[in-house]
Amino acid sequence: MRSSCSAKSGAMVERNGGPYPLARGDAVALLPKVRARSSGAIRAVLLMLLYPLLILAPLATAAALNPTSDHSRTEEVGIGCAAVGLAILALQFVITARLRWVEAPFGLDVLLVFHRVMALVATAALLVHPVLVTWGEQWPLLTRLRVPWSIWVGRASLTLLLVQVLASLSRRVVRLPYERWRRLHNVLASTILALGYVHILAGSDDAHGGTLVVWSALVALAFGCWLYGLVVRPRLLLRQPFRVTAVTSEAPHVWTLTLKAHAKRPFRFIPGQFQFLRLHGAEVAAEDHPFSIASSPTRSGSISVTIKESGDFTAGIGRVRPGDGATVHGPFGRFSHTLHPGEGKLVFVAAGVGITPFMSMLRYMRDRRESQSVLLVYASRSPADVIFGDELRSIEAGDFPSLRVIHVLSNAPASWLGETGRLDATRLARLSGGVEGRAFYLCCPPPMMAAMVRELRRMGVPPARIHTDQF
Amino acid sequence: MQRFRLMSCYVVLVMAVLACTIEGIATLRAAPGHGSNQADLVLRSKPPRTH
Repeated sequence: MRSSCSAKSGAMVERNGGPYPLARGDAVALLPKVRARSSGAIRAVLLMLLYPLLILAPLATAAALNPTSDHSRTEEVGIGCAAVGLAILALQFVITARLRWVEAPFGLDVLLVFHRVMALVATAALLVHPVLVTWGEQWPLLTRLRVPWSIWVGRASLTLLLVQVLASLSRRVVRLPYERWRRLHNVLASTILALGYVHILAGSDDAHGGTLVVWSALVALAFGCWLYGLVVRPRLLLRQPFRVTAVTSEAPHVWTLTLKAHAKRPFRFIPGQFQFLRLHGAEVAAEDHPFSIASSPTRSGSISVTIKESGDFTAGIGRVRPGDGATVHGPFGRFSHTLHPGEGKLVFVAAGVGITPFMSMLRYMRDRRESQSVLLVYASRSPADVIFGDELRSIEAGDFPSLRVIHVLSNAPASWLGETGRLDATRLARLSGGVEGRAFYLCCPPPMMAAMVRELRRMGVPPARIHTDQF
Repeated sequence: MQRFRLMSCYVVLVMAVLACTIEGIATLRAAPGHGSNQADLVLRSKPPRTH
Protein backbone atom coordinates (compact mmCIF):
# COMPACT_ATOMS: atom_id res chain seq x y z
CA MET A 1 0.00 0.00 0.00
CA ARG A 2 2.80 2.40 0.86
CA SER A 3 4.37 2.11 -2.56
CA SER A 4 1.13 2.53 -4.44
CA CYS A 5 -0.47 5.21 -2.36
CA SER A 6 0.57 8.21 -4.36
CA ALA A 7 -2.99 8.94 -5.48
CA LYS A 8 -4.05 12.48 -4.80
CA SER A 9 -7.52 13.86 -4.65
CA GLY A 10 -9.07 13.74 -8.11
CA ALA A 11 -6.93 10.84 -9.40
CA MET A 12 -8.74 8.51 -11.80
CA VAL A 13 -9.15 4.79 -11.27
CA GLU A 14 -11.11 2.12 -13.08
CA ARG A 15 -14.71 1.44 -12.14
CA ASN A 16 -16.09 -1.58 -13.97
CA GLY A 17 -13.90 -0.72 -16.93
CA GLY A 18 -14.65 3.02 -16.83
CA PRO A 19 -12.94 5.96 -15.15
CA TYR A 20 -13.96 6.70 -11.59
CA PRO A 21 -12.84 9.90 -9.84
CA LEU A 22 -11.56 9.54 -6.33
CA ALA A 23 -13.47 11.76 -3.93
CA ARG A 24 -11.75 13.95 -1.35
CA GLY A 25 -12.66 11.56 1.44
CA ASP A 26 -11.21 8.64 -0.55
CA ALA A 27 -7.80 10.24 -0.74
CA VAL A 28 -7.77 10.69 3.01
CA ALA A 29 -8.85 7.08 3.50
CA LEU A 30 -6.15 5.79 1.17
CA LEU A 31 -3.19 7.78 2.48
CA PRO A 32 -0.34 5.69 3.90
CA LYS A 33 -0.93 4.71 7.48
CA VAL A 34 2.75 4.85 8.45
CA ARG A 35 2.32 7.40 11.22
CA ALA A 36 -0.93 5.79 12.36
CA ARG A 37 0.81 2.40 12.51
CA SER A 38 3.70 3.63 14.66
CA SER A 39 1.38 5.54 16.98
CA GLY A 40 -0.77 2.41 17.15
CA ALA A 41 2.24 0.39 18.33
CA ILE A 42 3.01 2.97 21.02
CA ARG A 43 -0.62 2.95 22.11
CA ALA A 44 -0.58 -0.86 22.23
CA VAL A 45 2.46 -0.85 24.53
CA LEU A 46 0.93 1.82 26.77
CA LEU A 47 -2.35 -0.10 27.04
CA MET A 48 -0.49 -3.32 27.79
CA LEU A 49 1.40 -1.57 30.60
CA LEU A 50 -1.73 0.13 31.90
CA TYR A 51 -3.80 -3.05 32.09
CA PRO A 52 -1.92 -4.84 34.95
CA LEU A 53 -1.52 -1.52 36.75
CA LEU A 54 -5.28 -0.98 36.73
CA ILE A 55 -5.90 -4.55 37.89
CA LEU A 56 -3.50 -4.11 40.78
CA ALA A 57 -4.62 -0.57 41.68
CA PRO A 58 -7.18 -1.52 44.39
CA LEU A 59 -4.88 -4.09 46.01
CA ALA A 60 -1.84 -1.81 45.89
CA THR A 61 -3.82 1.13 47.28
CA ALA A 62 -5.10 -1.01 50.15
CA ALA A 63 -1.57 -2.24 50.89
CA ALA A 64 -0.14 1.27 50.76
CA LEU A 65 -2.81 2.79 53.00
CA ASN A 66 -3.03 -0.17 55.42
CA PRO A 67 0.44 -1.77 55.46
CA THR A 68 -0.55 -4.34 58.09
CA SER A 69 -3.66 -6.36 58.73
CA ASP A 70 -4.90 -8.82 61.32
CA HIS A 71 -5.23 -11.64 58.77
CA SER A 72 -2.93 -14.58 58.25
CA ARG A 73 -0.78 -14.74 55.13
CA THR A 74 -3.09 -17.37 53.62
CA GLU A 75 -6.09 -15.13 54.16
CA GLU A 76 -4.22 -12.20 52.66
CA VAL A 77 -3.48 -14.22 49.53
CA GLY A 78 -7.21 -15.02 49.34
CA ILE A 79 -8.10 -11.35 49.71
CA GLY A 80 -5.54 -10.46 47.03
CA CYS A 81 -7.02 -13.03 44.65
CA ALA A 82 -10.48 -11.53 45.11
CA ALA A 83 -9.22 -7.99 44.56
CA VAL A 84 -7.41 -8.98 41.37
CA GLY A 85 -10.28 -11.16 40.13
CA LEU A 86 -12.91 -8.47 40.58
CA ALA A 87 -10.66 -5.81 39.01
CA ILE A 88 -10.21 -8.08 35.97
CA LEU A 89 -13.99 -8.47 35.74
CA ALA A 90 -14.42 -4.68 35.88
CA LEU A 91 -11.93 -4.18 33.04
CA GLN A 92 -13.74 -6.79 30.93
CA PHE A 93 -16.37 -4.10 30.30
CA VAL A 94 -13.70 -1.80 28.84
CA ILE A 95 -12.17 -4.54 26.67
CA THR A 96 -15.52 -5.45 25.11
CA ALA A 97 -16.87 -1.91 24.76
CA ARG A 98 -15.63 -1.69 21.15
CA LEU A 99 -13.72 1.51 21.93
CA ARG A 100 -11.73 2.47 18.84
CA TRP A 101 -8.58 3.48 20.77
CA VAL A 102 -8.53 0.15 22.58
CA GLU A 103 -9.42 -2.01 19.56
CA ALA A 104 -7.34 -0.45 16.81
CA PRO A 105 -3.84 -1.52 17.99
CA PHE A 106 -4.82 -5.15 18.59
CA GLY A 107 -7.88 -6.03 16.50
CA LEU A 108 -11.25 -7.01 17.95
CA ASP A 109 -10.63 -10.74 17.38
CA VAL A 110 -7.55 -10.70 19.62
CA LEU A 111 -9.36 -8.60 22.21
CA LEU A 112 -12.27 -11.06 22.36
CA VAL A 113 -9.93 -14.03 22.83
CA PHE A 114 -8.11 -12.03 25.53
CA HIS A 115 -11.50 -11.29 27.13
CA ARG A 116 -12.29 -15.03 27.29
CA VAL A 117 -8.90 -15.98 28.71
CA MET A 118 -8.95 -13.25 31.36
CA ALA A 119 -12.51 -14.24 32.32
CA LEU A 120 -11.18 -17.70 33.16
CA VAL A 121 -8.24 -16.20 35.08
CA ALA A 122 -10.63 -14.01 37.10
CA THR A 123 -12.96 -16.94 37.77
CA ALA A 124 -10.08 -19.06 39.05
CA ALA A 125 -8.89 -16.22 41.31
CA LEU A 126 -12.39 -15.59 42.66
CA LEU A 127 -12.99 -19.31 43.31
CA VAL A 128 -9.76 -19.49 45.31
CA HIS A 129 -10.81 -16.49 47.42
CA PRO A 130 -13.41 -18.15 49.73
CA VAL A 131 -11.25 -21.24 50.19
CA LEU A 132 -8.17 -19.29 51.32
CA VAL A 133 -10.06 -16.73 53.38
CA THR A 134 -11.81 -19.46 55.38
CA TRP A 135 -8.70 -21.65 55.57
CA GLY A 136 -8.23 -23.03 59.09
CA GLU A 137 -10.83 -21.99 61.61
CA GLN A 138 -13.38 -20.18 59.46
CA TRP A 139 -14.81 -23.03 57.36
CA PRO A 140 -18.34 -22.32 58.65
CA LEU A 141 -18.32 -19.16 56.56
CA LEU A 142 -18.38 -21.43 53.53
CA THR A 143 -20.98 -23.91 54.71
CA ARG A 144 -23.33 -22.23 57.19
CA LEU A 145 -26.63 -20.67 56.20
CA ARG A 146 -26.60 -18.12 59.03
CA VAL A 147 -23.80 -15.80 58.00
CA PRO A 148 -23.63 -12.00 57.55
CA TRP A 149 -25.58 -10.78 54.51
CA SER A 150 -22.38 -9.57 52.83
CA ILE A 151 -21.22 -13.20 52.67
CA TRP A 152 -24.46 -14.13 50.92
CA VAL A 153 -23.88 -11.33 48.42
CA GLY A 154 -20.42 -12.75 47.74
CA ARG A 155 -21.86 -16.25 47.36
CA ALA A 156 -24.50 -14.96 44.92
CA SER A 157 -21.87 -13.13 42.87
CA LEU A 158 -19.65 -16.20 42.68
CA THR A 159 -22.56 -18.50 41.78
CA LEU A 160 -23.66 -16.18 38.96
CA LEU A 161 -20.07 -16.01 37.73
CA LEU A 162 -19.99 -19.80 37.50
CA VAL A 163 -23.31 -19.78 35.62
CA GLN A 164 -21.87 -17.13 33.28
CA VAL A 165 -18.72 -19.12 32.53
CA LEU A 166 -20.55 -22.43 32.09
CA ALA A 167 -23.17 -20.83 29.80
CA SER A 168 -20.42 -19.28 27.67
CA LEU A 169 -18.35 -22.47 27.45
CA SER A 170 -21.34 -24.71 26.66
CA ARG A 171 -23.34 -22.32 24.45
CA ARG A 172 -22.71 -24.28 21.26
CA VAL A 173 -23.15 -27.66 22.95
CA VAL A 174 -26.54 -26.80 24.47
CA ARG A 175 -27.45 -24.85 21.30
CA LEU A 176 -28.25 -21.66 23.14
CA PRO A 177 -29.06 -19.07 20.42
CA TYR A 178 -26.37 -16.39 20.18
CA GLU A 179 -28.80 -13.48 20.64
CA ARG A 180 -30.31 -15.00 23.80
CA TRP A 181 -26.89 -15.89 25.20
CA ARG A 182 -25.63 -12.37 24.56
CA ARG A 183 -28.54 -10.78 26.40
CA LEU A 184 -28.03 -13.18 29.34
CA HIS A 185 -24.27 -12.52 29.27
CA ASN A 186 -24.76 -8.74 29.50
CA VAL A 187 -27.25 -8.94 32.38
CA LEU A 188 -25.20 -11.48 34.33
CA ALA A 189 -21.94 -9.57 33.84
CA SER A 190 -23.28 -6.34 35.30
CA THR A 191 -25.04 -8.19 38.15
CA ILE A 192 -21.87 -10.09 39.08
CA LEU A 193 -19.82 -6.89 39.18
CA ALA A 194 -22.46 -5.01 41.18
CA LEU A 195 -22.76 -7.83 43.75
CA GLY A 196 -18.97 -8.11 43.97
CA TYR A 197 -18.71 -4.39 44.63
CA VAL A 198 -21.38 -4.58 47.38
CA HIS A 199 -19.56 -7.56 48.91
CA ILE A 200 -16.39 -5.45 49.12
CA LEU A 201 -18.22 -2.42 50.53
CA ALA A 202 -19.91 -4.46 53.24
CA GLY A 203 -17.36 -7.14 53.96
CA SER A 204 -13.86 -5.78 53.39
CA ASP A 205 -11.73 -4.18 56.11
CA ASP A 206 -9.99 -2.08 53.46
CA ALA A 207 -13.10 -0.59 51.81
CA HIS A 208 -12.67 2.96 53.04
CA GLY A 209 -10.72 6.07 52.13
CA GLY A 210 -8.48 5.84 49.08
CA THR A 211 -9.14 2.14 48.47
CA LEU A 212 -12.87 2.78 48.31
CA VAL A 213 -12.28 5.62 45.84
CA VAL A 214 -10.18 3.35 43.58
CA TRP A 215 -12.78 0.57 43.69
CA SER A 216 -15.59 3.00 42.99
CA ALA A 217 -13.68 4.54 40.06
CA LEU A 218 -13.00 1.10 38.57
CA VAL A 219 -16.64 0.01 38.90
CA ALA A 220 -17.85 3.38 37.55
CA LEU A 221 -15.53 2.95 34.55
CA ALA A 222 -16.98 -0.51 33.92
CA PHE A 223 -20.59 0.60 34.16
CA GLY A 224 -19.80 3.72 32.15
CA CYS A 225 -18.52 1.54 29.29
CA TRP A 226 -21.52 -0.76 29.62
CA LEU A 227 -24.05 2.09 29.50
CA TYR A 228 -22.14 3.77 26.68
CA GLY A 229 -22.44 0.67 24.52
CA LEU A 230 -26.03 0.01 25.53
CA VAL A 231 -27.57 3.49 25.47
CA VAL A 232 -25.26 6.31 24.36
CA ARG A 233 -23.54 4.86 21.29
CA PRO A 234 -26.73 3.62 19.56
CA ARG A 235 -28.17 7.14 19.93
CA LEU A 236 -24.97 8.76 18.62
CA LEU A 237 -24.93 6.39 15.62
CA LEU A 238 -28.54 7.30 14.85
CA ARG A 239 -27.32 10.82 14.15
CA GLN A 240 -25.29 9.40 11.24
CA PRO A 241 -27.81 6.95 9.79
CA PHE A 242 -27.18 4.78 6.77
CA ARG A 243 -29.91 3.95 4.28
CA VAL A 244 -30.36 0.63 2.48
CA THR A 245 -30.30 1.43 -1.23
CA ALA A 246 -30.29 -2.07 -2.72
CA VAL A 247 -30.87 -5.67 -1.69
CA THR A 248 -29.38 -8.12 -4.19
CA SER A 249 -29.55 -11.91 -4.26
CA GLU A 250 -26.02 -13.25 -4.88
CA ALA A 251 -26.63 -17.00 -4.46
CA PRO A 252 -29.22 -19.19 -2.72
CA HIS A 253 -29.76 -17.65 0.76
CA VAL A 254 -27.00 -15.07 0.23
CA TRP A 255 -27.84 -11.37 -0.01
CA THR A 256 -25.88 -8.19 -0.56
CA LEU A 257 -27.10 -5.04 1.15
CA THR A 258 -25.84 -1.76 -0.25
CA LEU A 259 -25.90 0.98 2.35
CA LYS A 260 -25.57 4.67 1.63
CA ALA A 261 -23.62 6.58 4.26
CA HIS A 262 -24.74 9.85 5.81
CA ALA A 263 -23.79 12.67 3.43
CA LYS A 264 -21.82 14.62 6.05
CA ARG A 265 -20.06 11.63 7.64
CA PRO A 266 -18.22 9.49 5.07
CA PHE A 267 -17.45 6.00 6.36
CA ARG A 268 -13.70 5.35 6.17
CA PHE A 269 -12.20 1.89 6.32
CA ILE A 270 -9.45 -0.23 4.87
CA PRO A 271 -10.28 -3.23 2.67
CA GLY A 272 -10.93 -6.42 4.64
CA GLN A 273 -12.35 -4.75 7.74
CA PHE A 274 -15.75 -5.42 9.27
CA GLN A 275 -18.43 -3.40 11.02
CA PHE A 276 -21.38 -3.94 13.35
CA LEU A 277 -24.62 -3.49 11.45
CA ARG A 278 -27.96 -2.70 13.05
CA LEU A 279 -30.98 -2.64 10.75
CA HIS A 280 -33.97 -0.54 11.73
CA GLY A 281 -36.52 -2.07 9.38
CA ALA A 282 -39.43 -4.09 10.72
CA GLU A 283 -38.23 -7.40 9.22
CA VAL A 284 -35.23 -8.04 11.45
CA ALA A 285 -34.40 -7.41 15.10
CA ALA A 286 -32.64 -4.11 15.78
CA GLU A 287 -29.46 -5.73 17.14
CA ASP A 288 -25.78 -5.24 16.33
CA HIS A 289 -24.22 -8.01 14.25
CA PRO A 290 -20.71 -8.09 12.80
CA PHE A 291 -20.33 -8.38 9.01
CA SER A 292 -17.32 -7.98 6.76
CA ILE A 293 -17.47 -5.13 4.30
CA ALA A 294 -17.45 -6.48 0.75
CA SER A 295 -17.07 -3.18 -1.08
CA SER A 296 -13.88 -1.25 -1.65
CA PRO A 297 -13.09 1.94 0.26
CA THR A 298 -12.46 3.55 -3.11
CA ARG A 299 -16.22 3.70 -3.63
CA SER A 300 -17.14 6.81 -1.75
CA GLY A 301 -20.41 7.26 0.05
CA SER A 302 -21.64 3.70 0.37
CA ILE A 303 -20.65 0.26 1.59
CA SER A 304 -21.96 -3.19 0.80
CA VAL A 305 -22.21 -6.24 3.05
CA THR A 306 -22.88 -9.75 1.84
CA ILE A 307 -24.78 -11.91 4.30
CA LYS A 308 -25.74 -15.56 4.32
CA GLU A 309 -28.97 -16.64 5.99
CA SER A 310 -27.71 -18.77 8.86
CA GLY A 311 -29.31 -17.69 12.14
CA ASP A 312 -32.24 -15.93 13.79
CA PHE A 313 -31.10 -12.49 12.68
CA THR A 314 -29.83 -13.32 9.20
CA ALA A 315 -32.88 -15.45 8.35
CA GLY A 316 -34.84 -12.28 7.64
CA ILE A 317 -32.12 -10.46 5.72
CA GLY A 318 -33.74 -11.10 2.31
CA ARG A 319 -36.86 -9.29 3.50
CA VAL A 320 -34.97 -6.04 4.14
CA ARG A 321 -36.21 -3.38 1.73
CA PRO A 322 -34.47 -0.42 0.05
CA GLY A 323 -35.19 2.66 2.10
CA ASP A 324 -34.83 0.88 5.46
CA GLY A 325 -32.62 2.68 7.96
CA ALA A 326 -29.44 1.22 9.44
CA THR A 327 -26.60 2.17 11.75
CA VAL A 328 -23.04 1.06 11.23
CA HIS A 329 -20.42 0.91 13.98
CA GLY A 330 -16.87 0.47 12.91
CA PRO A 331 -14.72 -0.21 11.08
CA PHE A 332 -12.88 -2.91 13.02
CA GLY A 333 -10.30 -5.58 12.34
CA ARG A 334 -6.77 -5.94 11.02
CA PHE A 335 -7.45 -8.50 8.31
CA SER A 336 -6.14 -6.48 5.39
CA HIS A 337 -3.27 -6.82 2.95
CA THR A 338 -2.78 -3.06 3.24
CA LEU A 339 -1.46 -3.52 6.80
CA HIS A 340 1.28 -5.87 5.61
CA PRO A 341 3.09 -4.20 2.70
CA GLY A 342 5.88 -6.11 1.04
CA GLU A 343 4.47 -9.58 1.60
CA GLY A 344 5.03 -10.57 -2.03
CA LYS A 345 2.71 -13.25 -3.34
CA LEU A 346 -0.63 -13.41 -1.59
CA VAL A 347 -2.76 -16.52 -1.21
CA PHE A 348 -6.38 -15.83 -0.27
CA VAL A 349 -8.34 -18.81 1.07
CA ALA A 350 -12.11 -18.36 1.27
CA ALA A 351 -14.94 -20.72 2.07
CA GLY A 352 -18.54 -19.80 1.24
CA VAL A 353 -19.51 -16.34 2.41
CA GLY A 354 -15.93 -15.94 3.72
CA ILE A 355 -15.23 -14.45 0.29
CA THR A 356 -16.52 -11.02 1.42
CA PRO A 357 -13.34 -9.49 2.96
CA PHE A 358 -11.38 -10.76 -0.07
CA MET A 359 -13.84 -9.07 -2.44
CA SER A 360 -13.15 -5.82 -0.61
CA MET A 361 -9.38 -6.31 -1.02
CA LEU A 362 -9.61 -7.45 -4.67
CA ARG A 363 -11.93 -4.59 -5.62
CA TYR A 364 -9.57 -2.19 -3.86
CA MET A 365 -6.56 -3.59 -5.78
CA ARG A 366 -8.51 -3.32 -9.05
CA ASP A 367 -9.61 0.25 -8.39
CA ARG A 368 -6.12 1.23 -7.24
CA ARG A 369 -4.51 -0.55 -10.23
CA GLU A 370 -2.27 -2.61 -7.95
CA SER A 371 -0.43 -5.34 -9.85
CA GLN A 372 -0.01 -7.57 -6.79
CA SER A 373 0.13 -11.32 -7.43
CA VAL A 374 -2.87 -12.97 -5.79
CA LEU A 375 -4.08 -16.57 -5.82
CA LEU A 376 -7.65 -16.98 -4.59
CA VAL A 377 -8.58 -20.50 -3.57
CA TYR A 378 -12.32 -20.46 -3.07
CA ALA A 379 -14.16 -23.42 -1.53
CA SER A 380 -17.90 -23.73 -2.20
CA ARG A 381 -20.43 -26.51 -2.08
CA SER A 382 -21.58 -26.34 -5.72
CA PRO A 383 -21.33 -23.95 -8.69
CA ALA A 384 -24.65 -22.38 -7.62
CA ASP A 385 -23.15 -21.52 -4.22
CA VAL A 386 -20.24 -19.54 -5.68
CA ILE A 387 -20.69 -15.89 -4.72
CA PHE A 388 -19.39 -13.08 -6.97
CA GLY A 389 -18.43 -15.61 -9.68
CA ASP A 390 -18.90 -13.16 -12.59
CA GLU A 391 -17.03 -10.32 -10.91
CA LEU A 392 -14.16 -12.63 -9.95
CA ARG A 393 -13.88 -13.72 -13.60
CA SER A 394 -13.86 -10.06 -14.64
CA ILE A 395 -11.08 -9.15 -12.17
CA GLU A 396 -9.12 -12.27 -13.19
CA ALA A 397 -9.35 -11.22 -16.84
CA GLY A 398 -7.93 -7.77 -16.01
CA ASP A 399 -4.37 -6.85 -15.08
CA PHE A 400 -5.01 -5.35 -11.66
CA PRO A 401 -4.40 -7.32 -9.55
CA SER A 402 -2.62 -10.26 -11.14
CA LEU A 403 -5.33 -12.64 -9.95
CA ARG A 404 -5.79 -16.37 -10.41
CA VAL A 405 -8.94 -17.97 -9.04
CA ILE A 406 -9.20 -21.68 -8.25
CA HIS A 407 -12.59 -22.98 -7.21
CA VAL A 408 -12.80 -26.09 -5.04
CA LEU A 409 -16.26 -27.67 -4.95
CA SER A 410 -17.25 -30.16 -2.28
CA ASN A 411 -20.40 -31.24 -4.12
CA ALA A 412 -19.40 -30.86 -7.74
CA PRO A 413 -21.57 -31.94 -10.67
CA ALA A 414 -20.25 -34.64 -13.00
CA SER A 415 -19.48 -32.01 -15.65
CA TRP A 416 -17.13 -30.09 -13.33
CA LEU A 417 -13.51 -30.32 -14.47
CA GLY A 418 -11.92 -28.33 -11.65
CA GLU A 419 -10.88 -29.16 -8.10
CA THR A 420 -13.29 -31.19 -6.02
CA GLY A 421 -13.47 -32.43 -2.44
CA ARG A 422 -12.18 -30.95 0.77
CA LEU A 423 -9.76 -28.05 0.85
CA ASP A 424 -6.82 -28.61 3.20
CA ALA A 425 -3.32 -27.20 3.59
CA THR A 426 -1.66 -29.94 1.54
CA ARG A 427 -3.92 -29.21 -1.40
CA LEU A 428 -3.46 -25.48 -0.80
CA ALA A 429 0.34 -25.85 -0.93
CA ARG A 430 0.04 -27.84 -4.18
CA LEU A 431 -2.29 -25.30 -5.78
CA SER A 432 -0.11 -22.34 -4.80
CA GLY A 433 3.10 -24.03 -5.94
CA GLY A 434 4.59 -24.32 -2.45
CA VAL A 435 4.44 -22.10 0.60
CA GLU A 436 7.82 -20.39 0.28
CA GLY A 437 7.62 -16.58 0.00
CA ARG A 438 3.85 -16.50 0.25
CA ALA A 439 1.51 -14.86 2.73
CA PHE A 440 -1.74 -16.65 3.53
CA TYR A 441 -5.04 -14.95 4.31
CA LEU A 442 -7.74 -17.31 5.58
CA CYS A 443 -11.45 -16.65 6.03
CA CYS A 444 -13.30 -19.91 6.58
CA PRO A 445 -15.25 -21.77 9.31
CA PRO A 446 -13.30 -22.22 12.58
CA PRO A 447 -12.57 -25.99 12.31
CA MET A 448 -11.25 -25.62 8.74
CA MET A 449 -9.30 -22.54 9.77
CA ALA A 450 -7.70 -24.25 12.79
CA ALA A 451 -6.68 -27.30 10.73
CA MET A 452 -5.32 -25.13 7.93
CA VAL A 453 -3.28 -22.92 10.28
CA ARG A 454 -1.86 -25.99 12.04
CA GLU A 455 -0.80 -27.55 8.74
CA LEU A 456 0.64 -24.34 7.33
CA ARG A 457 2.70 -23.90 10.49
CA ARG A 458 3.89 -27.49 10.17
CA MET A 459 4.96 -26.76 6.59
CA GLY A 460 7.15 -23.93 7.91
CA VAL A 461 5.02 -20.86 7.18
CA PRO A 462 5.93 -18.25 9.85
CA PRO A 463 3.02 -17.01 12.01
CA ALA A 464 3.58 -13.47 10.75
CA ARG A 465 2.61 -14.64 7.24
CA ILE A 466 -0.66 -16.30 8.26
CA HIS A 467 -3.61 -13.95 8.69
CA THR A 468 -7.03 -15.13 9.80
CA ASP A 469 -10.53 -13.70 9.91
CA GLN A 470 -13.16 -15.90 11.53
CA PHE A 471 -16.85 -15.76 10.63
CA MET B 1 -1.42 -15.48 14.00
CA GLN B 2 1.45 -13.36 15.26
CA ARG B 3 -1.00 -11.21 17.22
CA PHE B 4 -2.53 -14.25 18.96
CA ARG B 5 0.92 -15.57 19.89
CA LEU B 6 1.93 -12.23 21.36
CA MET B 7 -1.33 -12.15 23.29
CA SER B 8 -0.61 -15.59 24.79
CA CYS B 9 2.84 -14.44 25.94
CA TYR B 10 1.33 -11.27 27.36
CA VAL B 11 -1.31 -13.22 29.32
CA VAL B 12 1.37 -15.45 30.86
CA LEU B 13 3.41 -12.36 31.79
CA VAL B 14 0.41 -10.58 33.33
CA MET B 15 -0.51 -13.69 35.33
CA ALA B 16 3.04 -13.96 36.66
CA VAL B 17 3.06 -10.27 37.66
CA LEU B 18 -0.33 -10.61 39.37
CA ALA B 19 0.68 -13.77 41.24
CA CYS B 20 3.96 -12.27 42.45
CA THR B 21 2.26 -9.05 43.55
CA ILE B 22 -0.49 -10.88 45.45
CA GLU B 23 2.12 -13.04 47.12
CA GLY B 24 4.35 -10.08 47.95
CA ILE B 25 1.57 -7.91 49.35
CA ALA B 26 0.17 -10.83 51.36
CA THR B 27 3.60 -11.47 52.90
CA LEU B 28 4.05 -7.81 53.79
CA ARG B 29 0.58 -7.31 55.24
CA ALA B 30 0.04 -10.59 57.07
CA ALA B 31 -0.27 -10.31 60.83
CA PRO B 32 2.68 -11.88 62.67
CA GLY B 33 1.72 -14.89 64.73
CA HIS B 34 -1.71 -15.15 63.14
CA GLY B 35 -2.83 -18.31 61.45
CA SER B 36 -0.82 -21.40 60.78
CA ASN B 37 1.96 -19.99 58.65
CA GLN B 38 5.00 -20.38 60.90
CA ALA B 39 7.33 -19.13 58.19
CA ASP B 40 5.93 -15.65 58.76
CA LEU B 41 6.70 -15.88 62.43
CA VAL B 42 10.27 -16.95 61.80
CA LEU B 43 10.86 -14.23 59.20
CA ARG B 44 9.37 -11.50 61.33
CA SER B 45 11.22 -12.54 64.53
CA LYS B 46 14.65 -12.05 63.00
CA PRO B 47 16.61 -9.28 64.70
CA PRO B 48 17.13 -6.17 62.53
CA ARG B 49 20.41 -6.00 60.65
CA THR B 50 22.71 -3.39 62.09
CA HIS B 51 25.06 -2.55 59.23
